[in-house]
Amino acid sequence: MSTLSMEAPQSPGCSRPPGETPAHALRLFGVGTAGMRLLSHLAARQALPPTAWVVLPAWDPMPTLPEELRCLRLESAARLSWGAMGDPDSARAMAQENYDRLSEACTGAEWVWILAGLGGGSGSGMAPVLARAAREAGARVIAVALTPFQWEGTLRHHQAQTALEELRAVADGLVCLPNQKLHPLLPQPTPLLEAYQRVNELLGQGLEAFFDLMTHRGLVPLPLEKLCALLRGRHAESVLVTARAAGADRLAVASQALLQHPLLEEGQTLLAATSVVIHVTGGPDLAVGEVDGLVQLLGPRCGHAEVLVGAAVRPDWSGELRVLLVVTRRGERLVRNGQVHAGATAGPEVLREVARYRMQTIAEAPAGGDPLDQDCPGPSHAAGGTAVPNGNPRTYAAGRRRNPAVRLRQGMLPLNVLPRGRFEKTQPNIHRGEDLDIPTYIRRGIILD
Amino acid sequence: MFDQTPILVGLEVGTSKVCAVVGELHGDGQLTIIGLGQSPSRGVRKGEITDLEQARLDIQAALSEAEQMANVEIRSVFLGVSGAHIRGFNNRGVHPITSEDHEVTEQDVHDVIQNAQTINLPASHEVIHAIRQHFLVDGQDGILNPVGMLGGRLEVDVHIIHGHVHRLQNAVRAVRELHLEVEDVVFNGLASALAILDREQKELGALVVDMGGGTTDYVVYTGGILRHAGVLAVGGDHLTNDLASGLKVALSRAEQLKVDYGAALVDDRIRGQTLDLTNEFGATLRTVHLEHLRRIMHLRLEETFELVRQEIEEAGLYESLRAGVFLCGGCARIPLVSQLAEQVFGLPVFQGRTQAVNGLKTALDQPEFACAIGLLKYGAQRRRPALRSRGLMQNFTQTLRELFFRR
Repeated sequence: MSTLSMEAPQSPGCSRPPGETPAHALRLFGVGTAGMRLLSHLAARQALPPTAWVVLPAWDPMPTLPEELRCLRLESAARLSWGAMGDPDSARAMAQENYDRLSEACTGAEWVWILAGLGGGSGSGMAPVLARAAREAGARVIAVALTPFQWEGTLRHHQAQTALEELRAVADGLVCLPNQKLHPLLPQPTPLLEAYQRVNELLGQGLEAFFDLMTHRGLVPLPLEKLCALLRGRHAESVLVTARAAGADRLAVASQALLQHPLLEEGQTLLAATSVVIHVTGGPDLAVGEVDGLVQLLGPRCGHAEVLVGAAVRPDWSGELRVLLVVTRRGERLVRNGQVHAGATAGPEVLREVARYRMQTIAEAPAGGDPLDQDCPGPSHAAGGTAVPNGNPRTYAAGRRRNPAVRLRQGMLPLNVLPRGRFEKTQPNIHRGEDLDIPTYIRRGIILD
Repeated sequence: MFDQTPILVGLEVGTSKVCAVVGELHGDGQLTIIGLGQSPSRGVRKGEITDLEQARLDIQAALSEAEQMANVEIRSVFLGVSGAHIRGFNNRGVHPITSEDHEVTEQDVHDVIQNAQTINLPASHEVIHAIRQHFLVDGQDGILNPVGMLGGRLEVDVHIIHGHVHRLQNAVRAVRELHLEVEDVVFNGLASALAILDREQKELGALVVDMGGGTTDYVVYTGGILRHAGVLAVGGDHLTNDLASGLKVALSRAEQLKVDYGAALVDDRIRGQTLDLTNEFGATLRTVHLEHLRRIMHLRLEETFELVRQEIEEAGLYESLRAGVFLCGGCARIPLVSQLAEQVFGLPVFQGRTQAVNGLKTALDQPEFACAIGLLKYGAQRRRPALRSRGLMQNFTQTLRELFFRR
């Protein structure tokens, strides 16, 4: 049993000689404005690992940051106009240009966490490049990505989806936090300015609990290796769900909040999960019945998922209870997408993407700094970090894929509406959390081709 | 109520068809089926009426066909109901024996069953059946008929089947609008079990799965008594819908494919086989894989059986099913469905055959008619006591009692 140790402080300028870093070093990166806000929010709430970086493009005004955070400003040789703001392509090119600085910042870390708000320019463009740099520097990458609200428009939504696909192909684990899903948790007349703040707060709670889980040894500890194994996996996608309550009826309040949490989609998320981590944190008065009650409540709703339970006690949390669920899904469909990315039979969208990459890298970073292999420039390929035999990308993908067809469940996109056919207008036929009117083969994720 | 004719009619308003069966009850309790009427059902989804007017027309068509065939005039029916709102659970009623000699009378039995029905149901639900299981006299278990026994305290275990009052009333209204009397409302699953199981199978323990067009009703008998009943709102319609969605064909075509090529298992021989879908002129429109068709059906049927098995296991009754599983309803016709059910339940599986009914035997020994025939048997059981010869006074008190105590 071990926990992730925090790294010793290090000044941003000095380059560290390799081999001196501790074994499980965790490094945090907040990319773009949203990433920065989230990181500052976290820094205000609790001690962060001393090596927390904010990555910002040069066109953003220099923010006032808490002193725990260091800023890595990316600069570009080509003069970029202010009009480049909000354009992921420019941001990507800029990150590409500063690739060496990014890799240097990642060197020596065992785990790199990237917090990024997708949809805008800097987050969507730079996060995948940073993830790739981190992978090449030998770190394992967990990307925590925020996707925009629906009312932010289709352009941002589309940019976010593209970036999400890129991140999914590159990162070891992806924790997706859709803002839109948190919308129902906001009170009705929330001003726009406050909405982001509230969402940051909600996400911050989840991330804080998650860091606690990774960095503190609990009373009922979860083996770190096991946790990492759950999050790892090329195409794993996780959501964090937290509930917090205090007082005598905290168990009831927390359970209610969990069950009604919009991220769980009325239990669908739990049913489709491959693994669920239930982590309970309480004060010294944390009762056995509370942990047991929660597991009894959630266990049967988890379908065939592997359920891990952990508990921690904080001396100053008397009368409080916090529950964190890390729900991970390794959809069959996601794995298939990955094969398409890595293999030679890329779909038209991927090809277009690759063509854009090439144009970017050739036009704006011509001087040999291009980390992409010119022969086979798939996003996942460059991120592999290991040498890939050029003519045989498929075996590479197959070797990477873990335990195929463990469970045949449909991986669902967040806003997909499943077809109910002739039962469209009838009352939903919910039985044990599943809508029986939806064809069984769709719910089980069987692909007919 | 006052003219108890020996003619009984069972009316099942199903999702795929409306079926009326006319039977004649003989003095010795034997039942002969003398008429049958059917009509495709268009106003019902998942066992519940969604279009009252359409349902009324379909019921009328089925009843008039049955009337013609049996050459009788139908005045009252036993109406079969189903739907996801129907639930079953066990309950116990208690009644103290207050008479001086502590002898249990028929009135006590009646009262204790009434007590067992006073339960905490949601306001929108009403009891359809309260089926007695066992009596207990002063805690002594397993008494089948306590009348005449001595004791101070009479208890009864009943199985309560209840449903949503308005949805039940919809079906009743559709019949009443045709100026017919509804003698009783009967849960379809119970009717099917009555038609299929004989006394021995009920004793040994049997599960009846009536998988119709819109619902799957299941009933468990063990030790001769009904122990569990329930409904899943999944049926043959869902198979068709799955096929339409999976093969991307119209619903009518999917229905035809299901009937012509469907089966519950995917066997190795059909791998790679394809079907050409043609338009009305015979030109090929597109090709579907037979394997996909079978796989979609297999998954749905397997899931449905698994859900039933789960319910039975949770009720703690799986171990006591020694006679096996009996399938009926339209889906029992699907080729290889028995083999699939055997795989899922791990028990012998039989196609349900309607027992102990005379007349039209070959025509009626089909899984689809089990429910309608069961309605007749239910009706025959209800009426039989009235046919016993009784004294004038007894008849009079019985009539009064029926007047006051009928639901």
